[in-house]
Amino acid sequence: MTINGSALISLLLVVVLAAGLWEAKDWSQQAGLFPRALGLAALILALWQLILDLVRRKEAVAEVDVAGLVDLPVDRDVPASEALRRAEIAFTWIFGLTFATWAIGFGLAVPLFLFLYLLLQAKERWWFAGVTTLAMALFQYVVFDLLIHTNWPDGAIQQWLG
Amino acid sequence: MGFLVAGVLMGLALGAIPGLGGLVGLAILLPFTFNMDRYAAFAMMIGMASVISSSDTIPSVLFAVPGSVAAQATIMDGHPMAKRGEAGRAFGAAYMASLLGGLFGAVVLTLSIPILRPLVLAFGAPEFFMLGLLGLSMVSVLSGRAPIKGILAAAIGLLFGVVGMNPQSSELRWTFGWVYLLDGIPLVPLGLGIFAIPEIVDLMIKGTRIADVQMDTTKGVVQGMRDVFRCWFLVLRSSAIGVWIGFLPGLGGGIVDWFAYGHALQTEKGARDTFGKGDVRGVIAPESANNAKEGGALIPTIAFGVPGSISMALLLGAFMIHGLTPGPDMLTKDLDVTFTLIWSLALANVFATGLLLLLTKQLAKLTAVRIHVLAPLVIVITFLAAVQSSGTFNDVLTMLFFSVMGWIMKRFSWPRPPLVLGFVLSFIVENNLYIATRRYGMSWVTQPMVLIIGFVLILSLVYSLVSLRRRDTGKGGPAPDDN
Repeated sequence: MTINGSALISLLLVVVLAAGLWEAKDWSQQAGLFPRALGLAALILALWQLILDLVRRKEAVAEVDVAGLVDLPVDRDVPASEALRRAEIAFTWIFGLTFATWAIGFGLAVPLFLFLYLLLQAKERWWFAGVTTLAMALFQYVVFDLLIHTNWPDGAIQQWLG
Repeated sequence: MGFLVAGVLMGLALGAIPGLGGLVGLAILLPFTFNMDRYAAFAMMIGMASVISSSDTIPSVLFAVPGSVAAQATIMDGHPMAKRGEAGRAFGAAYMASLLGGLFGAVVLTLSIPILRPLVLAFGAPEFFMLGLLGLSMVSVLSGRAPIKGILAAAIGLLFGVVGMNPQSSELRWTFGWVYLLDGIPLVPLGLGIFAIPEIVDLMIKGTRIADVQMDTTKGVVQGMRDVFRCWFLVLRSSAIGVWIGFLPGLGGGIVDWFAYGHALQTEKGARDTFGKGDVRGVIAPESANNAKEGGALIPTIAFGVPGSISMALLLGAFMIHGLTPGPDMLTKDLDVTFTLIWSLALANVFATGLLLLLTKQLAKLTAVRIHVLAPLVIVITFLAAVQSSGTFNDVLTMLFFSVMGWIMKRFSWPRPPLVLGFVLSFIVENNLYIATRRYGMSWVTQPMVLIIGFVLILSLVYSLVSLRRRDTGKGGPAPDDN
């Protein structure tokens, strides 16, 4: 029996589907029939997938699952541990941008993120980061503010300051 | 016309950047069309989506890196041609084949309208439910040798699709007291999260610039274009394959090029000796097919509301956003919109070919931009696009949730297309099943059209599975790993 990433996902699915079915138990026949029937079938399949993931060898899981899969391919050249480390960095920046848009709004968060990323992560020169940031800010203003008239949600700090 | 050209330019740029295909482009473009005139909106979207398969040839030929999933087979002969100094010929052949394939798709779409009109008018809830099932049945093909994962992903997509207020009973389903979810999960943040961010993160993991090699791309373009006319029957057959695969809901671009490539390999004289070594016919076949598939994919999308591909699933979302109901309305009172789509498809292919011939060298440079410069720009545009959905920060949170989910799915080989397919088909399936059962009881199961669609469903399922099996065993063309 092998605990691998695929098995963990299957386990998570089982838990989420079971919780979802529990939540749906009180719905009327009209609202609940489709999601309950579907959810139950999915739960059974998820359990079956979990068993498959646990009993198969790790290599066999990867080998069988990728074959014939219609999706954009994953570049496996980078070792898994290094890929995970780089993914953590990438998602840290993405979560950082998310937090910044929540805190200070899109108008400030986007240029700040872009400038800091180019300077700190991409190790670009400050003038290149500055020019790229200004170009993006101009693009954001012309396309989103002037052409599309986007109403950006206010940042939490702006709301707090009134 | 200006919006069409803008869409074409965007499509060409996205096609040339590996990982950022039509799905990403449509997901980004969709929110920008909210306040646009519907004709301009669809001209831009079709303009973008229909030419991705034209420019995705550039990185495929130059660097053996597929610009999109539909350009994998082009590598097989395109890259060997480039390596021996015939990149220009490969491009000339690819662009002309793409143009003819795209026009073929538009012609088939046009001719199918009068045939489909009486057919679609005879369709009711039972038939649309069956068509929804037909779309879902394609999950088995999308899932390769992991059918349980594919079906599970589709089921999860269907379940995400029922989140929100039930239209029949007005009960709230899985909203957890979050007002944002009353109208259901919005498609735009879901699409961006599932596809766009995971692709960008994967490019960031790769870390290097997409490509470092520069080659001469101008020589032999005319010769390549002549090759296409010399192989006109292959173009015709490959385009027909493209339209057919595009028409079958759920099959999408990932296999169309391999089907056409395999067909050329099986039927063209001497192909078994020359394919894989730089035979121009190995470029012509997949390139004709992957452009023709857009016209084919539009047929079920327009006529039945069943997306012919994942890109079309997003387009279906755009129909709904602009108050259009796919089905009979698109062939009667909204026929003008349908013809806008057809003209956009045809003109976009013409514009794309012209522009590519002019811009090939410049577009190729995009693949040499360092990913650390490209990634933050794409991330920012993705965030700006996500918030167009409801104009609240919740859109960003939704996108973030699906980004993490999409990346995990991709890394652990859980197919993402079935999830989006299930999500988009959820309302069609549930609503029509409910209406059909309420109106006809269980007698709808025996209605003639239901039985016919059921037969087609089984037939297409068997055909698709047999074709995939043939491909796996090497009878339908070489596997991608063979490259």
